[in-house]
Amino acid sequence: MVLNYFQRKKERSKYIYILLIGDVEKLVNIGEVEKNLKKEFGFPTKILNSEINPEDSYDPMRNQYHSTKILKEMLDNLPSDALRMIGIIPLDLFIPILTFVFGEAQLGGKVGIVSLARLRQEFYGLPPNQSLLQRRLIKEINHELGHTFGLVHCSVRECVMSVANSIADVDSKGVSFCNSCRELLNRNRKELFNAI
Amino acid sequence: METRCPFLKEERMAFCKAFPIKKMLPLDRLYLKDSLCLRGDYTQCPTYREKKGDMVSGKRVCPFLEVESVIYCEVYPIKKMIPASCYKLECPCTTEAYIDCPAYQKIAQGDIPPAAEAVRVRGFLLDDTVYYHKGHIWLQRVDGKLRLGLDDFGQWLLGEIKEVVLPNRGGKIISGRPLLKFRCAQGTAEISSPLNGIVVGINEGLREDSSLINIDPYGQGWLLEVRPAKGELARLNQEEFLYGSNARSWLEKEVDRLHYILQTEIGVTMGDGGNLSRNLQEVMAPRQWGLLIKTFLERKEG
Ligand SMILES: [Zn+2]
Ligand SMILES: [Zn+2]
Repeated sequence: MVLNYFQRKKERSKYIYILLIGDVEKLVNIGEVEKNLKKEFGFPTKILNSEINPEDSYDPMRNQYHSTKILKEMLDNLPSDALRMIGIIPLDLFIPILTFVFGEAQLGGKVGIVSLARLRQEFYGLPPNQSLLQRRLIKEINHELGHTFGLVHCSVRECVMSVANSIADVDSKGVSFCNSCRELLNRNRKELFNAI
Repeated sequence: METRCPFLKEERMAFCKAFPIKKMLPLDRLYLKDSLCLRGDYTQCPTYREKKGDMVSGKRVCPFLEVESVIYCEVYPIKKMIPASCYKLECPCTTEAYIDCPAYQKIAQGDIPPAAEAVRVRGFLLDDTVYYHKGHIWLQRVDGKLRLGLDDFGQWLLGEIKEVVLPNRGGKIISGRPLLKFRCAQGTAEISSPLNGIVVGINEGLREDSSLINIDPYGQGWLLEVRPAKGELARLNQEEFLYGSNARSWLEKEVDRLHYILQTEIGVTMGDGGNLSRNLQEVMAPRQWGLLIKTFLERKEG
């Protein structure tokens, strides 16, 4: 099929990439993540195995990985057809001003990342719980991608954009966006859609 | 695996040794309430007078104030405090047996109701009884006067306060003009006045020990008392000052604003996770510190 110029341009960057950094597929069901992304954001997805070496971002003093450094590498290696890219990593992440992060994202940018480390029950000495891990992961992915679409933190406690400082906060919030965040998300998505 | 339950928490509780009933209060809360026990005028306390008569004690806090560490479960619906000294080593919370605890297993299901009201907002203490100026000065009405202090977020930003330079008693203060200076480990911060008035009292205790601001920002670390100029009290209800739930959401946004200011190599990013590092200075260059102080504390009118 021959695409006209406009269609080709539109084709150029319309995927939400899911970047797997390390042995992610052993831990979570990526198919479910894709399904959720299509539903919440309405863009097609692509899965990519990362070539980033997280050891470059390791901080021996904290025994954690600097998530902004990983985001920078993701940005440097962004595929041309990527509208957004969300990284999933099993390692424990941090940024200098916080004791740890579940995730980090560029506000109104292209990339975000989520760590599985503290979403797993094993971290708290509990027996594994696959469906809970999956639910937590989807919340955090929606939250971080929400940031990339320009959403800031929301004071509606059920909203996925509310702040989580602990795993209990992650569990007590909802999977999806409240009405006002949804509205803003749709507006920003539409602008994007018109721009590409 | 952890050998101690991660939800086992320790807290410092205060109680009065002179009072007939042992009533425990979190030390944090005592500070928040500007309790008599922590002030120089504890000698006015009826319980103190009954025990000690008019005898003067040289201590800055009440000698009958006792502080004790207690242990409690963060997830159990009823907060039951146990003195740390009485805690048995073979308790399930301190051994691997915590795994079988029903309260702990509730977390395992991931069904937790949204947290109830908290005196902490994103890790910072918020006193619900004071007004906040957007430059992180709190104001509280005390018999016709206003007492002013620095809020918890403000003291956290400053870090170790080495000295505070306060205006003179009787001096006139003007909204938006320099009010006081903090000399800190990282540099000096100059704070403007949030209102017009006359200084009628200053916290003498800070001359000896300015770390009171860091330790107890809403209590012993208060800064000065002001008789507000005519019409100034009415301004407290205007946009520039915040109270109650408005203060809460403002403080939440201030924490987000930190992320905006601390731009990374890849622009503004939002990090979602644990608590702010207690020692900001260690993770931040002096230039960044200066920028934060300018943005949050030295803000000009508007
Ligand atoms: Zn929302
Ligand atoms: Zn966030």
